[in-house]
Amino acid sequence: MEVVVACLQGGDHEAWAEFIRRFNPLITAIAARAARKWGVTSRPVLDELVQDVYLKLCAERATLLKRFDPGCPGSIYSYLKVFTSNTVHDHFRSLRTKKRGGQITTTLTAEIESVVESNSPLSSPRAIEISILFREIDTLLRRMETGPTGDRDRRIFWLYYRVGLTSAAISQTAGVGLNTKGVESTILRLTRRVRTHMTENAIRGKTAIVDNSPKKGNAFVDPF
Amino acid sequence: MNLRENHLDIEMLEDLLQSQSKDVDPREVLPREIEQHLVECEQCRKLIEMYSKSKNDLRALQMQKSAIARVGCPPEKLLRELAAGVAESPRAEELTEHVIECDHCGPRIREITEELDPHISMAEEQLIEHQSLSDPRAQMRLARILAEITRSAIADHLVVTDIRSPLRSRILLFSELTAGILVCAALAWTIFGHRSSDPNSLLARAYSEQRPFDFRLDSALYGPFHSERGPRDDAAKSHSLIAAELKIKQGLLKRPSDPMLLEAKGKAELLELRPDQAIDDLSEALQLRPKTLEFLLNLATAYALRGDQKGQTSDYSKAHDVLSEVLQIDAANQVALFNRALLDERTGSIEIANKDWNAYLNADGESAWAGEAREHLKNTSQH
Repeated sequence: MEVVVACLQGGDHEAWAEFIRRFNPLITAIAARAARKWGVTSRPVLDELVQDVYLKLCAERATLLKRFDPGCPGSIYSYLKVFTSNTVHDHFRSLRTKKRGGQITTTLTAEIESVVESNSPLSSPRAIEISILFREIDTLLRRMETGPTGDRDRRIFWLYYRVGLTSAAISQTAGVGLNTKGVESTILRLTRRVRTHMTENAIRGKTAIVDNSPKKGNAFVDPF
Repeated sequence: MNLRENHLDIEMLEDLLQSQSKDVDPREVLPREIEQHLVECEQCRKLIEMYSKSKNDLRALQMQKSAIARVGCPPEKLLRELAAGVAESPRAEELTEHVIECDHCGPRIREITEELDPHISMAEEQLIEHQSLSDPRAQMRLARILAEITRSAIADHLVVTDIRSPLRSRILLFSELTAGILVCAALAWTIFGHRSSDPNSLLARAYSEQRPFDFRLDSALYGPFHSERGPRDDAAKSHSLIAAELKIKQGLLKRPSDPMLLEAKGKAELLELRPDQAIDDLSEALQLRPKTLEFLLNLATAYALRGDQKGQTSDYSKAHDVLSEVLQIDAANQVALFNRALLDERTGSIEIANKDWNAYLNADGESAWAGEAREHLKNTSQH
């Protein structure tokens, strides 16, 4: 990671060449994915975006240097991913604002939302059932997990079941501080406890019953 | 456990599952003895059924499509920082709590983690292989430009200059956050939002603001001459010059052989009082577009400045020859007449200098340049 620090501190062209050689695949892949979200797959446009990332990296190197921890080599990859993605999304957002005469400042999300189904899922009976079950389990987890890692473990559980992240993605998330194995083990432990509780309650006739008939949507592979 | 006397309990079910594959229905992995018990015992059958169902209940909790953003939803940039693991504590924990509750941010962060996945697919590998930067020469060219930008501390200078401005300083008192926003906005504007002003206009403005040599620069308005020797300090650079340099570098990344950009780069080098580099760039521009008057005028100035810096009369001769070439094409070219008269003075050719000053004043009798020409004529006439 010396090359990163050298470049950000004003390195020579040799250092920058090494930086490009090492990080260009990551920067290009992230830029391509971000551009695709805006419907752009053109290679020349992607080339320009990647070059913009490098120029902006130069311009904002002081900020990056402050935030980057040389003691944690993996952190530069994380920062570069976020930096690249932000640069590309900002670029397209700015283009769109210009096209619309700078009058509209909606976000990409808002644009995505305009094309997804508009019927609110929050008001359906099924959504209410899910919401009740979520509250029940969350209360249970808060009661069960009272140790120093209780809140973290509860968040891991929900990032898995509620958000739908993989164990690997959860381990990358800020504030988790566990590797993939650690995340898997936490999910397994909590899943067993929650399922046990749900089963006992169901037998006693207490639990909220969710309609589990097959639904369209994301495939969810649950190994637990 | 004696199943004839006892029922199956959840602990036993868990133990059984633990000894088997994780992702199976309990009913598929039960030993024969328990299977037999289940045929007879309704209570245990219900237990297994409920336990299996709990798995589906948990699956049903996953948020599907992204709902409409709420007022308290964090900006996407923060979600990216969270997903990439660079959000700082306790902000990260607060964000996670929001994400697991929010029907908008939950699905969004799922998409973001896919976007930031470090694994590069085969299709992406092919894309990288065919991009222009896959060529080591292109990488080296970019590396040189990046090194040049970081060395000249252009970005740092911009930030410092902005904070120094009195109006900005007053705004800064309100909060550090405001400062950050202003500085970022200024930087972004200068680097990416300045595209409507072309580098040549910016360079002309930079010249007029801080005219660093007595020679005229093509298409630039008059500015009083500030005598300087050698390359300029970054801190002394005008905003226009910094913005022009960034724009030129950005342009050259995309079009490395664009003669107009090479000429602009050469002109920027002149304003930086780096004639050697200016000569290289302007010569390259002239190779691509021979006999272009603007290029020739700037090349002549570059030779003249090198003559000043190194005391080489041969450079003055080269500059003189180039200006004469311009005047052969355009006899009334004011910049060429003005600059050649200055060169004549430097080489001690006073009579020729007087002749050139008079020729200049015939072409331009009223501008601020004419005033300067008259001063020179007055001085040389006294010799």
